[in-house]
Amino acid sequence: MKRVNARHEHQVTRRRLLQAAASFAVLPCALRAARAHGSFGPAEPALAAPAMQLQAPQGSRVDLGARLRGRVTAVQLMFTGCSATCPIQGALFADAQQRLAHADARLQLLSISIDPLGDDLNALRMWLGKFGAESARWNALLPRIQDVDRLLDFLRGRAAGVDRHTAQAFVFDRQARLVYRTEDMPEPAELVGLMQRIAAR
Amino acid sequence: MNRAMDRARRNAPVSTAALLAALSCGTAPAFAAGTADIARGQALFNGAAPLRGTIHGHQSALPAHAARCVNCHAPGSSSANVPPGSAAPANTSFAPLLTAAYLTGPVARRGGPPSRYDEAAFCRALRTGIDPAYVIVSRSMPRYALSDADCGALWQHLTASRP
Repeated sequence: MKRVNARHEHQVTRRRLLQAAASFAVLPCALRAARAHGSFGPAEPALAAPAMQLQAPQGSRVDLGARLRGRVTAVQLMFTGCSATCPIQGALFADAQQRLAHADARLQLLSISIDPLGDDLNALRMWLGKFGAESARWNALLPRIQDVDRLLDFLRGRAAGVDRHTAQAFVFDRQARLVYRTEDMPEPAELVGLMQRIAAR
Repeated sequence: MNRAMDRARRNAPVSTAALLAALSCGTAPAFAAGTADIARGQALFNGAAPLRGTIHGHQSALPAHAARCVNCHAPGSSSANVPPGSAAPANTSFAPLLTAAYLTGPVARRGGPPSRYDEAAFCRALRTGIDPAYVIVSRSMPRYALSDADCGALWQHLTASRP
């Protein structure tokens, strides 16, 4: 009886040890996954931009990856009929543009509309003009309606409420990979600093 | 005290005119002074008069057009077109409509307990982002640098003319 009990205790202890070891083995993966899937912070591992065609204000169709490759890009989601967060987002990018005045030309700002039903290229041009966007630094793109949800999901830029999008900036590296999601309404000086650090990698 | 003096100074001509009118036809002078405040508050709310707003933690103030109250607190503000088949959002404004009932009634806001604004609590929320239940309002709402007189005028506009 004593031997049976001892064996049982041994099995329980061994099971606990195995469980603990398994927990420690899983923990780093779980932490990495949590970081990668957080709503803001570094995107680890970096995520390749989804393949999709968008329209530029000049009328041409561009591939998102091709538009991002070779540059460090801060992307924001917006739409021209948005009176709440988008004027603030526009003002923040205008501030960032000013801070980037003498920076490497390969640092760019990109505003992507989430409302292809309400926006057109002229509306995007006017919206950029309202904030003094200079096309060498700051542009806008209009996705196809079928790509909007895919873009919102990829960026994790979806928000409840009438605006439907967050006011974050999504930073891509030169390989067109999403590497960082900022908090809502990023401080322009910090955004510019982040872009420069990513460019220096 | 300062606010009352500011307001009295700003409304002095109106109050004098109102006093003269009151002497001739029995109208209370306070009504005319309130009307001036309400008009000023309406101009601030709609953006006809600029407000200085800054996103919490930012170095620079926003341009006045980006910091207008009406941008977020008006019916139909800021609605994205929803693709066919998607669920349309239930609300029609980005932020709560600022009616007298919403502000002064006991209302649970941002997950906090029911609370009421008075003028002091309203001005504190505009300046610091702390609401009457001590809950911090969203970072999307700028923090405003405005005088006691202008804050009082906004409060008058919202509570006296928007039931």
